Amino acid sequence: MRFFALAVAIVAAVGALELAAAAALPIPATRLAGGTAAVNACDTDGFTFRHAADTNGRITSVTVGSMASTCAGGTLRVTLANGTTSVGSGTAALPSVGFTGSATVSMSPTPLSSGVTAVYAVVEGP
Amino acid sequence: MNRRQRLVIAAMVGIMVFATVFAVAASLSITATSLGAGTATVASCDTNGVTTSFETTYSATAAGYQVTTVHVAGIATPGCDGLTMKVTLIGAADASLAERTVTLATPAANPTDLNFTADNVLAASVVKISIVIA
Repeated sequence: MRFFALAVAIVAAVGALELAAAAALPIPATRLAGGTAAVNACDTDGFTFRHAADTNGRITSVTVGSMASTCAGGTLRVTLANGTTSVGSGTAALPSVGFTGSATVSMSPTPLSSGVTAVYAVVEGP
Repeated sequence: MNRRQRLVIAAMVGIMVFATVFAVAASLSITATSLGAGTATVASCDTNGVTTSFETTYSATAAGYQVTTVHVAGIATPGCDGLTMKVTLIGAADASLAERTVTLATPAANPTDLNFTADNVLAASVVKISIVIA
C-alpha cells in the first residue's frame, strides 16, 4: 500500500513540476517611455517691428517689441525678406532678468529698405 | 497467496492501469499551436521625463521660420541606452507634421538631436511634441 502511495506521489510530483515549468514561460521585460507635451508659444498676440536705417537707406537693425515676459531667456531671430528670399537676418539673446519686452537685432547683410517686403521673427525657448 | 503477495499484485495492477491511462492521454492527437503565457513588467526607461528645445532657421520654402533641430535632453542613462527614440511634431487637430527616429547612443547623448530640416515644418505650426522611447 505504501509502495503504491509512493508511486502516485512521485508521478504527481513530476506532473506538478511540468505544469510549473509551463506556467513559468519567460517573457523578457520591456523598457518603454513616452509622452506628449504642448509646445506653448511664449507670446500669443504678436510682435511689433521698427527698423533703423543708415544714410544710404539700408536697414541696419530691427527692434522687436511687445514681446511677452514669458519670452525672457529665449533667443530672438529676425529675418528680412524680399518675397520669400532672405535679404538680411540677425539674432539676439533675450535676457532672463530685466527683460523689457523689447530687443534690437542688428541685421547682416543690411538690405535697402526698398528691397524688404516682409519681416519674420521667432523666439526659440526659453 | 499471502497478504504481502496480494499487496504487490494490487500495486502492480494499479500502476499498470495508471500507465495505460497516461499512455492513452499521451497519444491524444491534437493539432494545435503551442501556447504559453506569462506576464512581464513594462518598465519605464526614464522616470523623470525629458526636456525639449528647438532650433529654427528662416526658410524661403516654408516662407517663415522652420524647425531645423529638436534637442531632447535628460534622457535616462543607462536605462534608455541603445533604445529607439521617435519624436513627432504635432500641429493643429493633432495632425502629425513630421516624425524622426533615432537610435540612442550608449550612453544616450545629452542632448540627443534630431534634424527636421528636410520636413519644412513652420515653427508657428507646431502645437505639441510627442516622444516615445522603446
